[in-house]
Amino acid sequence: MKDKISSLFDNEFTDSELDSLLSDVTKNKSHQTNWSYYQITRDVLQGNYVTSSPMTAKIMQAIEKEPTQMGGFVQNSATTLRAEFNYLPHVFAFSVLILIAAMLFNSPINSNSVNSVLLVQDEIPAEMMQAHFAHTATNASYFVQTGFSNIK
Amino acid sequence: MGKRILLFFLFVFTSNTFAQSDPWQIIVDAHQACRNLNYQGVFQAEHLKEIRSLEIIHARHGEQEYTRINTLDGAPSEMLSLGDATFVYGTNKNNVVIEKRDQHRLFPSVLPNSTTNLRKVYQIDFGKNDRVAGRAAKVVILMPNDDFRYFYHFWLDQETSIPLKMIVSDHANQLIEQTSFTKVNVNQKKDLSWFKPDIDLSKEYVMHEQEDLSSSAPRFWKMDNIPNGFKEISFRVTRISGPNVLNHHLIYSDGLAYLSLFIQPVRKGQKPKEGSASMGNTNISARYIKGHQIMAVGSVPKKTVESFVNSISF
Repeated sequence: MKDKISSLFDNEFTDSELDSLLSDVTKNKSHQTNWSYYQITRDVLQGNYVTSSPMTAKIMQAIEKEPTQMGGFVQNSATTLRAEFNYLPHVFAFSVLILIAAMLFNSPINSNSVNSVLLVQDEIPAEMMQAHFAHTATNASYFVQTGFSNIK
Repeated sequence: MGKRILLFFLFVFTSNTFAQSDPWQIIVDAHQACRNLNYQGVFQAEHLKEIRSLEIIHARHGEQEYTRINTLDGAPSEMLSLGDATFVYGTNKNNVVIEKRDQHRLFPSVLPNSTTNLRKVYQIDFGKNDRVAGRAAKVVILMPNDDFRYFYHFWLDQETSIPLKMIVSDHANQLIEQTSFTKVNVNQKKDLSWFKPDIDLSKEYVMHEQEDLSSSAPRFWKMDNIPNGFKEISFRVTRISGPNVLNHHLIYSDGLAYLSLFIQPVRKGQKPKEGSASMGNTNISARYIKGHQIMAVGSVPKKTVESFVNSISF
């Protein structure tokens, strides 16, 4: 199941497989927890930690709509603790490792010793041009452009 | 007693004459006309090396100002603004992309409501009368006092003061930018049925909106000796989702010219850029300081963007 969830977050699933997986996930609380950890890991890796994707919203909505299956799970502290104790530290450690790796990869460098390159027209960041035109343009032709791909 | 009365009337007469003959008043009149009158027309604007036609409809309805601008050439896109709420609708292969913008300063509404700052850095002059889009126009030229900004030439409608044409040129009298009505109609039409986006309803909508984090983001830099007359008018901080870093975007203006200053952390594996380049009529200057990429972007002389990136220190 973990592999399936991982595949889903890598967009390797078809719609029918997604529906089947959603059904499985909503029936099992440990799968739901795994789901959350994979979601956080995926979001951190992709830099989307502050937002939630429509897919995540769809999944969470599906989970919330399944009170019958949730009710079948015995809600007492012993079971809950035992269930979480089995996998939580491993998943948590794995997530922390990935989080650290992602932070190291994305962390800004703080030094003047980096070799800089000469700015050339082809490498002018499109997102900066877009942001500049979106907030300052007096020329409507530039202002009404949306998305970075429109800046040549 | 008679002399005092005479002096009083002389003072009143000269004061009124001075007030009415203030040449800068025409700039304020043009600003007010753009905001308060109902008009619609087609104008042409440069887009890099191309000329594109756009249609504008503007109306004042009660206290609200309604504007719609849509492209007539190339990919369909348009802007709707109601007061300060401005939305841009763009269409790509699969989607209609909607972006919320803070406001707009688009032709013909390009002149500020106050001339206080303009008077410090420009001189005003008048050219001979002309015709634009079939309407009589008077030519107003704003000439910079220094070489940190360009020359602005306006053809103002003699009847309403609405700018009918704008040319920006550099100190060598080379054309930087040109926008001009080819057709314009000023009327008192009250109908607002045109105020809706004309987009492909069969396509899915995608909303692009970036959260502004400026209220919680510290300013870790200082600016010294920026070019005279430029003032910070906007500060935005947004998160770049891919590398998950903050982008600081400051906007400076002297009332006519606008310049963006970006401050962004450089990530490992990324080579920072330095030097200057241009794209169309926009100049860009880049500098690397203590782990940060500084970049100034603006339709201003190269000297101005370079001055801004050299004004920053940590």
